Amino acid sequence: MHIPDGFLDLWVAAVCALLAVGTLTYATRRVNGELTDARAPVLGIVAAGLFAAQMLNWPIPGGTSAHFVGGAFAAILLGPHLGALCVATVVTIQALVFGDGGLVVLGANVLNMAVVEVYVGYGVYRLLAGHNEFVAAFGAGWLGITAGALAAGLQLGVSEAFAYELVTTLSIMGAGHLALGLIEGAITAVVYRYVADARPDIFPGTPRREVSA
Amino acid sequence: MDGLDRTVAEVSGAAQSFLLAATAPERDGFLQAVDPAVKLLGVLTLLVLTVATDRLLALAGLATLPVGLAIASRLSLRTLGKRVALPLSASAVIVAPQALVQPGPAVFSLTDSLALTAPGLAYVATFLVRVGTCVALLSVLLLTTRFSALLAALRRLRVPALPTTLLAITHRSLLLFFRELERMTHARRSRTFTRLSLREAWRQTGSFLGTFLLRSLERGERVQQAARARGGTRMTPYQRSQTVGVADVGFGLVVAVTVVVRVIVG
Repeated sequence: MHIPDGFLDLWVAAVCALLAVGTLTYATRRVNGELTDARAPVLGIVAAGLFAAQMLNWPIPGGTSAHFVGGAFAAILLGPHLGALCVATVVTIQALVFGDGGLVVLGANVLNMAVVEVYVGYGVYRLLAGHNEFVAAFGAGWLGITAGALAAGLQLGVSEAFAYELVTTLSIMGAGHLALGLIEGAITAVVYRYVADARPDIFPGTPRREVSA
Repeated sequence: MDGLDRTVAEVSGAAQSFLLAATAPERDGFLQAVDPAVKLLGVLTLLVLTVATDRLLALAGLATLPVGLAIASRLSLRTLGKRVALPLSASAVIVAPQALVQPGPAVFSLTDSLALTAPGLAYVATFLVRVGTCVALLSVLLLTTRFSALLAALRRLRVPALPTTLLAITHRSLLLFFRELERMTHARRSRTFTRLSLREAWRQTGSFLGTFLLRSLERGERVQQAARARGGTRMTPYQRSQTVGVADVGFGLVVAVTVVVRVIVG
């Protein structure tokens, strides 16, 4: 899903950057003071895990590429605001260390993967968690990545630099990630269940969980 | 060795080679001498210029810039080519159908109803030169700048401390993460004697990823506790100062001349 420089028009990149900065500024205000010494390694390790997962890319004709993102998992594990900052960090490091995704379009990539996917994924999780947490984690991973891909498809479709029409980019990115998202959702759910069983204490805002000796 | 082993080995190997092969920024070259903040702003300007260009000839001229900068910075063109090749080939796969679907006079007929058109080929060439130039410019920046120097540059450009700190924490965790992953994969391989069914493989993979996450997390907590014991828990803002030098002025001139020429030529 990483968009390289040259795919988007400048105005699209600028609008996306403004939206991404605005949302992350809000997220930063919400987590101010939350990033304590004890929380920092959790963030670093989760970010590093997402980093590895996102390195597996497959090109899609008519779109960009498909890969695992893990934004929903970060949102569930860290909370949506810290999760958004975490994924934004990963996307930025990918651009600044590996050159994966462009610099001018960094705002667009952050918007798709760190904002849209994280918040949509978290919303789906919160909506379904009361019924079944495993299904909620699956739905979060699946629909989160699909929403992020649709956002990328929208940006590509409205850019004159990218010759495919909006209907094409939305269809290919959406359909491709609806299929790939099933795997993303499955992995999110399986890992979520394992971590929730083993270390329920690391999830934020889950007073219902109790650790028994 | 199953699919999980292979994937982990490939991803981990690629990531570690990127993270450890940081010798180019230490070479005595042109861009290595440029202040990272100046370099970051200059490359960003060149990228914006490239993205805003849609004429093939102008783009071809811009494409010579990263090559020239790489030579002046004593970078291996082979290394630069390798970094550009993957995103460029992926982009080629994505836009190649446009050579067939864009209407216009046929240049080469593949079948009775399918032909490569002149506007289509021109679009694909323009698109690929633009993307290739952008990737090359970004690669030149990354190959001549240490990550810590980039963080310092971001701080000098008034990027707030929190995102810089988050970038630093994540970057520090990467090598730890990949080495832990390699150790676990090695241990898993040594314990596996039989071929797993799909169901068993899925279950094991889930446990593997979960265990890995927890082990990494606990390791991270130990690292953090050790840092705290040494009094090193404050988030370093990566602030550095550097005076403007000849290389900074030189690179600024290269960027300025490119912008002026692009504006005049159109």
